[in-house]
Amino acid sequence: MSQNKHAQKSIDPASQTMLARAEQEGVETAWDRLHKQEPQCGFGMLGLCCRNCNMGPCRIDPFGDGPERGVCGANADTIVARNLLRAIAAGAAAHSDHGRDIVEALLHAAEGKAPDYEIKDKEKLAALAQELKVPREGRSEKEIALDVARKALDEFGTSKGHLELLERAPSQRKERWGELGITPRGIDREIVEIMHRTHIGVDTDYVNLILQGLRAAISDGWGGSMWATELSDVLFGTPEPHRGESNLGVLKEDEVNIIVHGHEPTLSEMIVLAAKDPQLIELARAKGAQGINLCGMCCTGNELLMRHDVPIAGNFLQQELAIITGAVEAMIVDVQCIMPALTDVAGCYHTKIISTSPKAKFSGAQHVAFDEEKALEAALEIVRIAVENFTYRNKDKVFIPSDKMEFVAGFSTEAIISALGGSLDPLLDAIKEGNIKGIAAIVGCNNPKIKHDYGHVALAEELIARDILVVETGCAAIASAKAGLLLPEAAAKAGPGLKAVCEALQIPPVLHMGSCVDISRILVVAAAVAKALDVDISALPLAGAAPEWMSEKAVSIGTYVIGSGIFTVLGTVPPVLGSSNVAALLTKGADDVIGATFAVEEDPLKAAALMEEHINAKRSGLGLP
Amino acid sequence: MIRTKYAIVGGGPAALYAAAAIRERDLAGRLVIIGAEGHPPYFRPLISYYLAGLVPRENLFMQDAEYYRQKKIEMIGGKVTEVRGQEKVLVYQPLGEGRGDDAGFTPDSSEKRTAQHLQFEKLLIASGGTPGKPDLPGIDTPGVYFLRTIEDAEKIAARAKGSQKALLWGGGLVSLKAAYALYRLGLEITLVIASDRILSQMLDRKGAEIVASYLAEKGLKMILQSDLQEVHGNSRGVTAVTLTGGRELKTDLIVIGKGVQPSVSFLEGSGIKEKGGVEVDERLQTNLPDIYAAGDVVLCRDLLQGIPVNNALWPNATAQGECAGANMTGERLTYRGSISMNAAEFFGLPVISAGLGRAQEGAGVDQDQPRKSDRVSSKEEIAPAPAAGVQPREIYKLQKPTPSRREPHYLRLVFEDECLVGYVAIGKNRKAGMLTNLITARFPLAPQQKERLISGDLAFPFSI
Amino acid sequence: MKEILINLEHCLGCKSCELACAVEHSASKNIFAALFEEQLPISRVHVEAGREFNFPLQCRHCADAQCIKACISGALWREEETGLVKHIPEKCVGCWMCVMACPFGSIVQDRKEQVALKCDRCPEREIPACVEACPTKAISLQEVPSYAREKRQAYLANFQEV
Ligand SMILES: Cc1cc2nc3c(=O)[nH]c(=O)nc-3n(C[C@H](O)[C@H](O)[C@H](O)COP(=O)(O)OP(=O)(O)OC[C@H]3O[C@@H](n4cnc5c(N)ncnc54)[C@H](O)[C@@H]3O)c2cc1C
Ligand code: SF4
Repeated sequence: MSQNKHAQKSIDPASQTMLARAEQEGVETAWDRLHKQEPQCGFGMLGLCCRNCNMGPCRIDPFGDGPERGVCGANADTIVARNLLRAIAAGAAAHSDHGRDIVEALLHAAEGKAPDYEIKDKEKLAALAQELKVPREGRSEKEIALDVARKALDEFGTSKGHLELLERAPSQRKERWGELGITPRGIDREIVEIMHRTHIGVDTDYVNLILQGLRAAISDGWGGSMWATELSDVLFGTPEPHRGESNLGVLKEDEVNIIVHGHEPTLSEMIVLAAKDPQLIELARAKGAQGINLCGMCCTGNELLMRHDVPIAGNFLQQELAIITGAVEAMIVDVQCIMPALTDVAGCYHTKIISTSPKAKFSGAQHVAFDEEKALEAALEIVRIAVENFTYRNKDKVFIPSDKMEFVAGFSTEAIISALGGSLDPLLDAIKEGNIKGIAAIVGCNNPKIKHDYGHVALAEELIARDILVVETGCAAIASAKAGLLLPEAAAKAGPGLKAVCEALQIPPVLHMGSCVDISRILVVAAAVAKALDVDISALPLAGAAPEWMSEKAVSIGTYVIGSGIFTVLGTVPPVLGSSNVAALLTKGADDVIGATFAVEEDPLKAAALMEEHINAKRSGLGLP
Repeated sequence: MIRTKYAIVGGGPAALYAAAAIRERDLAGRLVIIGAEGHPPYFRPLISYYLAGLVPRENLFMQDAEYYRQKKIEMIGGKVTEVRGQEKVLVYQPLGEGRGDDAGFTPDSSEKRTAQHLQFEKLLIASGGTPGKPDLPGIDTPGVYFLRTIEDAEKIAARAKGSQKALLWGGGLVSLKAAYALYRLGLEITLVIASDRILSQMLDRKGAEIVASYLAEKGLKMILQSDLQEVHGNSRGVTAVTLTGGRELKTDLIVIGKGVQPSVSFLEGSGIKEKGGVEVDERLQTNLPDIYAAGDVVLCRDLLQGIPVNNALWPNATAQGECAGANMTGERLTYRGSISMNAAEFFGLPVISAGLGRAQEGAGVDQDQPRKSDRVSSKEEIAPAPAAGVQPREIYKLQKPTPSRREPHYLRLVFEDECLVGYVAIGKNRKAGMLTNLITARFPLAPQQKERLISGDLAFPFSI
Repeated sequence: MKEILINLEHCLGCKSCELACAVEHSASKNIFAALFEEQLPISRVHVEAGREFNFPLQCRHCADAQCIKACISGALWREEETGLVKHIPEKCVGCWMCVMACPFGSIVQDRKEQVALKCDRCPEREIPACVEACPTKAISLQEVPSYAREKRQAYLANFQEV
């Protein structure tokens, strides 16, 4: 009965086990808190409450019985659109601020202010320099890197009038953006402009508002996020395929377990080094541990597993569960998707939550300021705290589920091209012949409103069975890792065409392309394919999905994905249904405007059918069988 | 001769509520209802909906046969012709066969048509009202009806089938309800109204105007300040009428709606005091012990005027029946009194009026005090120097302008000092009941409470 | 006998109860789907906005229900087993006698269908939707001893006169 109950919450066996354990231990998790929140505020769910000024808060009655306008006169369309825009702004800000941190890390490294960082991928730096027209002849790597970093930094508040990396998009797409007046003019600027336009008494036209939402989102996908990916690759290496292990079973009973959780690679890269420090390993032994076991979680975990042999302990909804194993000495967090509940859960165990970013402190957590100038030093200090904490582990409380699963990850754009033998042609041919019908991107979070991992895994399985190649990032990719879909052997689950391609190339049918900012890699691949066929991205047999999305970042992602011309299916209902006009624009009207729409479908099997239908329609549009 | 503990004259809602109240307290004592219609109690106000075909016949009845069996309520179809108050005997004429066919009623076939006697211990007079029939040449022409009973409704419906034009004589509630029913049946409607406005018993002049123009928009013809002088007909019944002033109008059927009087004629010689309505005390007992009265037949204390009046209305009939029934079993409940109130939807427009909602507009200031841009609130009048015993009366009107095709919205509040004593609400009326309650509770309002009411903020009782 | 009790100090006026009630009385019982129903559902609870406090108001299922006595169609009746005041929309003719009579103003109108609507205590649920929806537990369903019930009724009667 109780096992059954937890099977309703997650398809992941490790999570089910830990949910039962949490119940036993009386530890509250996100699922419990969701239950306590239910029924959730209908106005919020429909996007109908506005708190943008202090004449409010105002709410529009969706059933037409009560008020139809806010105090200022804003109607449902305006309020829903403004709320949506603010979510986009928050999401774009999160990605782009992350991007800025990476840019600054490169800048400081080039300036010599961050001595612990080196440029790992010199080829990529050179390619970027060429793309950005940074002179290379006779210049040192550091000088080039400095120029690249400065150019990147300029993107945030540029006076050039448009973003640099938009050039990667096919000309048809750029023209469409131009015609609509939504070519982003600066990463920060678009976000600021949203905050301005959604202030009381500025923009009230929902169409005009949503266009600005698209512009800000595009500045994320083709700006902030893309810079994060590109320069992370330069600094830490462009990922290459390799094997690893996933799920809570990667925690080790006899070692010091450290989990890095959050989003940015700058700190975690240093932790990787620190965890290998012989002195600290010796200290761990002295404390009675066999060694130091560094694991990742969420997108910091993804950043690490893409580039290193660091296992991943789980995705978003497993952060609390990891602590409940009683075997985690420290969870090191930076920014984004870190549940405020962590310190409460950790309070029931010996686990230390160590916050590191000045942007994100948690009451009840220990803060060790992370500073690029003394990056390794801070990392060593953090690992030492973790190791010393091993002493306080209560062996009786330790409960590590045995479940773990191997995966192959590291499919950067460059890695995919090299897996294809150096060019995209084999992929294009497979698509043209119909062995691969199309490509679907599954991205996004976990959300306790959707059975954990089910949205991701069921959709991925359903799509590959339909000969659709799946590329993934973020928590979706971790779900697939745990389900074994990231293994070449998973090709057995694919349809005959895709299976043959995977077997020939020795690749899994589901490709892990990185963290959530790495959705920019998907855009780059899509743009490259479109250019190769000389069509707009919207003409390609591509589809996106965010089956378990929850964050504002996901709102921004979804918006730039459709803004880039890719049809996207959402698994949870976005708070826009309060305005039938906004909902209709996003799900129907947008097709004429930007060549793609959203759809909402909770059932992953039905979502797969929608995506296949869309891909087939695009195939016939291209004259493909 | 039947001997019974409880006897009730009249089979309307007052009778049924009384019977139910008796049975709540005394299941043993014999209980007989004698009703002249031969139907078990029914929802009389539904008959216009029944006429229009909006309510099926079986939905008219207040309870089913099983209820009467279970509660041991005997029902006799018969007309009481005499009450001997001192002897506690009444005389009734049983209805002929073919009546009393509805659930629960026992047709008294064995003793057809000969007067019967009934001995009671406790009696309730709940004989309701009888529509007034003006004396007029041609008034007995076939095709001239009242709308008071199921049979009336059925007769009107039958004639309406072949008819094109209907004339409603009177501009009151029943006339308008009949008008709506006939309108639904596709007839062309004309109302002939003696007064200078429709619903003069319910609405103030302004309110009446609003409703009238709404009705006119729906295609109703209203002839005000006019009356019938003569009814003309031929072998097939009514053909036309002559109005005062000589104007002639063609019509195929006439419904008279000229008010209802308490049905008291059978009480002559009973010893029960009546003044065109049975007088009762605060326990609803008549001047004779053990004889009570309730419903449309009584004159009972008006909560606002303090004098006995005939507030012949459904909620009053049920409440009085309930109270009288309880008292008949020996309980000592008091009935505080009633107010005049009514609610209806006329051709889609809700109208509610309660208390002194239509209170006289007399001399006084009539100044406009616009309060909010979208509404006009005016203090209509303050009677200058109140006559002795009469409270000064303040009237406030709140009217939203009505863009065409939009429902009018009108609220009229009548105060005596700090008490709300009446209101008229046309259109939106969600909280009307709270106003009714303020009136019946005679609740003294604090100045700011009153202020909020006047501004149209009806949420007030919960917010100050 | 269970009663819906209101804790005035806890009501923040979020109107979650109104939405939950409307959704419960929709065909689909799902807020998203309800929006697309031909007949938009109508809430039977209304949050009265006050100056010092808000008051979620729904039918009190009065012991001496004025609405039943005023109803001219038999649509309003008392269910003996539960003591609840029930309403049968099919019988209702929309005369608004009950609206005129209810001292709390808690009869709701479906103007399109011309029928009255009221709280039915959510017969299909153990806990009424409004109670469950209230994030601050300002609305609760509690077992009330019958003497307290009378007190409660008396209190309410007072309250509206306060
Ligand atoms: C068309 C119509 C619409 C109405 N609409 C409304 C409305 O919207 N709101 C409202 O409040 N009210 C309305 N009324 C008024 C309402 O119906 C009465 O107030 C109510 O029926 C009074 O109930 P009662 O029991 O006192 O008398 P009645 O309902 O009149 O019942 C009295 C019964 O006693 C019988 N009777 C009379 N004399 C004798 C006798 N001597 N012996 C035996 N039986 C006798 C009569 O035949 C009758 O059956 C409406 C009435 C009509 C006709
Ligand atoms: S901006 Fe308008 S809708 Fe929003 S809170 Fe202010 S008045 Fe209300």
